[in-house]
Amino acid sequence: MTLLRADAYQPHRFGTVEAAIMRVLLVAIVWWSLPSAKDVADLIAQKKPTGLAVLFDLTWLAKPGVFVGCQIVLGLGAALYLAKRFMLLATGTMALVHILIFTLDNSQGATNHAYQLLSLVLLAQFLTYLSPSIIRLIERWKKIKLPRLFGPDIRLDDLAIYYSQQTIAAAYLITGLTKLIRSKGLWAWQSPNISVELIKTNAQNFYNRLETDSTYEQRHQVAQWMIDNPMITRVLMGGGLVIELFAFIALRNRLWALVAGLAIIALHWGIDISMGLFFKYHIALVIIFYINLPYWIGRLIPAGEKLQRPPGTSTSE
Amino acid sequence: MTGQRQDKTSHRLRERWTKFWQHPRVRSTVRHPLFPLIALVAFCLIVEESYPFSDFPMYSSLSPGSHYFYLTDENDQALPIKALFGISASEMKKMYHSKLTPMAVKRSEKTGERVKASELNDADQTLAGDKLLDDLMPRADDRDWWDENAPKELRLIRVDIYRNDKALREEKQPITVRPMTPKASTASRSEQASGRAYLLTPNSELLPPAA
Repeated sequence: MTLLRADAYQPHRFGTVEAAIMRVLLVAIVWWSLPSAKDVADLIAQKKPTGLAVLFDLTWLAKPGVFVGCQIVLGLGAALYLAKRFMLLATGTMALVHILIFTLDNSQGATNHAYQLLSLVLLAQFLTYLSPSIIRLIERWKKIKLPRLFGPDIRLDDLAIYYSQQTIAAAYLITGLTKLIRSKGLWAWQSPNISVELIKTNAQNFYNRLETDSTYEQRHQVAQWMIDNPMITRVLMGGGLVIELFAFIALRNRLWALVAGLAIIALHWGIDISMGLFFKYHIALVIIFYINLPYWIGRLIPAGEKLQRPPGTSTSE
Repeated sequence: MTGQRQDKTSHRLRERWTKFWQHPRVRSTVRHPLFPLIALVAFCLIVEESYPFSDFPMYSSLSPGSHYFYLTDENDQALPIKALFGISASEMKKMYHSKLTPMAVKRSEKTGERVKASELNDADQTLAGDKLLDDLMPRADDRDWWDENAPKELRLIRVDIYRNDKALREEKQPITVRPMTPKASTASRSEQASGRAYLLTPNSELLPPAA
């Protein structure tokens, strides 16, 4: 199949500055995503354990002082990551602390889907930096030489970004497939029923603080419009489903990543307007790894050429 | 003889594995640059919810009906859930269902027939509501709202919404009522969690009769 031809999805090299900006922005959103010490202190029990919490009691994270310790460990990992030193240790500590905190947060009986993708991206980067050690171990154990998937010009840092992009695409593909599986393929057809969910979300948002925001009335109007125009609703919602199912197209090259990134942002914008659900960390990850503004700015301004230059290359190349 | 048979079986299995592994289509799939993506998708769809892995099921099945919960005081005045307990109404709904669903599973095991959570009777819904409030009360500690606004009663209300051709319909149903002692607003977390700081008996007058 032409769409899935292997050579169309090869990883490419990223410029030194381009990759550095991605690292800074990733650290910023990881830090931004952390809950407050007060919120963590509330997590005194695991009402419905998930992930590692099934195997271990993680409530020790809620004890006074422990969360501050976690923040320090994460901060040290982030500092190493920004300095591009000991990347296995840096990504490992960042992924571990993020996963532990949000595993406990998600073990309270109310599953939240805001942080999984961020944790998964950190885990993907850690596994990328771990992979050479695992390959060496297998080669020594089996006394074989495993084939290399990519050329020698592709560095581990490029692969860390490439697999972060794959993780994001996987999350959207999973979302789309789950919709098709659980609705037995009828999701787009059933989509006018989402008007009921709009009213529910609107009411829930209101009862959080007994306040209505500027979109409260608008959301009621959208729900009524969906009920009045079921066929147009099916076309629009079906379009969103197509964006989710074909998010992997972003892995083809930077231009496709930009196109897919903009389509995903448009999808989230629609979800925010209609349902009041704003997936800020998903959007931030898409902006960093798909839209990749530093690269496109570098293409537009002559001085930005440096951004695009991978390490070890000169201007004469 | 048994040892020889085992050797033969393991040899056959190894041969089959080698044959499978060396099949050109398998090799090209595993070596495809998107193989990690495919593996992650398959893994998440199998494990469903296990942080950080998820099958992201939000709004994956859209029925013409839905519901939400809110809290009121003794005068049926709505209360701001975030200010009371630091969680959202959506999280409160999920917590309620994390109490109700295991009850449905237990009932299914007992009767031998599959019982859905939505099929449980009013008494079960009240019990799930009580368990929810038991879990929520310790969260009231250190929340400033309680200092000046502590209600005499906390009522959990369920609202069902239905899409009916070209209109939407709403139905309200009280799930449980918890009278609060004056001490509740100032009691320690452990006192509240153990139920010593408030009365645990629901107000039966406001509840639908148990089926």
